[in-house]
Amino acid sequence: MDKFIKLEYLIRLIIVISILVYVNFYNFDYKIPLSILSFSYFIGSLILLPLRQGDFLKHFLYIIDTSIIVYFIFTTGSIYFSIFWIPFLFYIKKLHDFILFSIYTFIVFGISLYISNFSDFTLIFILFSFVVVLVKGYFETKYYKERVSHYNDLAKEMYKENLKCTDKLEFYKKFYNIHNTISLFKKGKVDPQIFVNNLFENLNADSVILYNRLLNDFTIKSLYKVDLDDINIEQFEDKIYINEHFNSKLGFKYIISKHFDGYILLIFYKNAILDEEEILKLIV
Amino acid sequence: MDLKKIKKDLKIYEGIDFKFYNNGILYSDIGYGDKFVILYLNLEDKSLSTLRDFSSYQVFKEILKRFITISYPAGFRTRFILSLKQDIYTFKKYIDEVVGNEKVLDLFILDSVGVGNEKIMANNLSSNKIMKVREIIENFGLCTDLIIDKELILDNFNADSFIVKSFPNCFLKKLDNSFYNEKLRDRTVFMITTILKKLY
Repeated sequence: MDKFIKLEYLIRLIIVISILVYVNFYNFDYKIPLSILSFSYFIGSLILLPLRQGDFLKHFLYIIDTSIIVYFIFTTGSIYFSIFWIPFLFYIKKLHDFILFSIYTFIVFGISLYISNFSDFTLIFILFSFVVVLVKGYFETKYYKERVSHYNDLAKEMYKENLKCTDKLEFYKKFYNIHNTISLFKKGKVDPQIFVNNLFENLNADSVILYNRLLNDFTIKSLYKVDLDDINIEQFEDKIYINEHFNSKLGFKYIISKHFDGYILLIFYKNAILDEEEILKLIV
Repeated sequence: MDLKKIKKDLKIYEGIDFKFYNNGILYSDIGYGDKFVILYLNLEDKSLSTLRDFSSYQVFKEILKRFITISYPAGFRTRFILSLKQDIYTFKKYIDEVVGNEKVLDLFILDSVGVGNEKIMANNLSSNKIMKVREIIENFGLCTDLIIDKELILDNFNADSFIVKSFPNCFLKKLDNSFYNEKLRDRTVFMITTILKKLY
């Protein structure tokens, strides 16, 4: 059940309890039939709950509410039962609701004024103040909804614009990252492990290996195991190896090698080179 | 949405009948053949309130609808698998038990698709297949790229697998389904269906 509908039933329960207390406290005649009537009103409104989903059918429930309130104003003679009608006014949502609810309100408060011989004007002031609050609330919510939809549309447009940019942005980001790390590594400002990790993240390569000639040390970042035991690394020249004995021995279709001062960089592609030429030109 | 509700929702035509496996996986076939191409989607939240779940589900549904109403790829069976909150190990178990590991030709895993900037993460592919997919992407002008899958979720899996994943921006987790866009969905659906039809 929706929480607003739950609240509506809470109002009905409060009406029933107050009628019971009122009838029993003042020891009315026919107090048992009256309390049974109020009970059956609550249970009947629970049974008619499916009507609440309908747009026009729900007014059948409100007609029952108004008639019960009017009936108990007559029987008890207490005009202040009419104030129980006010919380129902929160459920105005559309124009036809507004028209029908104003008819109900006119009936309830007209009858209670008639019973008090048109002497009790507090009811009118209560009603007017409530209507002012209601009208203000209506305009506030309208304004609020407009703002929310405006910002939502703005966010959606920005999301689309962002998507347009990301495609170009990725290429430049990769390009800039690789250019930066290579230049920093040549100056000796970057650790070999960080250099290799950075290349591995930005390239679509299966493995990246850096060999230090002086220390005879390997730095490896790889998806697969690369067996370099039988191979003399010094034999690699500055070029892209395709269909040569290194390829068949290591099991990679493309191997890119490059000599730096004191280092040899090897980049392995298992099946295909998936990177753009502009990025590879930075390395080779 | 519960899985039973999803089953009802996916029943676009009467010929399609989704079956249950292990109370967590729904599957059904389209087409005829001995071998399988699998389309797999895993939903993280059953309410479909987040953008990634909602749009991936819409893409899944749209592919199914197009296969039924327009045409389906011939030569193999396309198996649609949808699971709810299942990890990849139950999926592997499902493939071993129900499909058979050697019968799987290709595996398409949909991971937050229909959001924009989709990439195909290739895993375990032969070079011929990679060339073929690249040709398809170039000839049809599909808005995607092939990249190497470095996360290796499907380690030790024999079949060729494509993980279709989108990398729109870092806010993807926070966005709800009001950001859903039909143009982006249609683009992804076109991408996946053309690759499925032209690959063999």
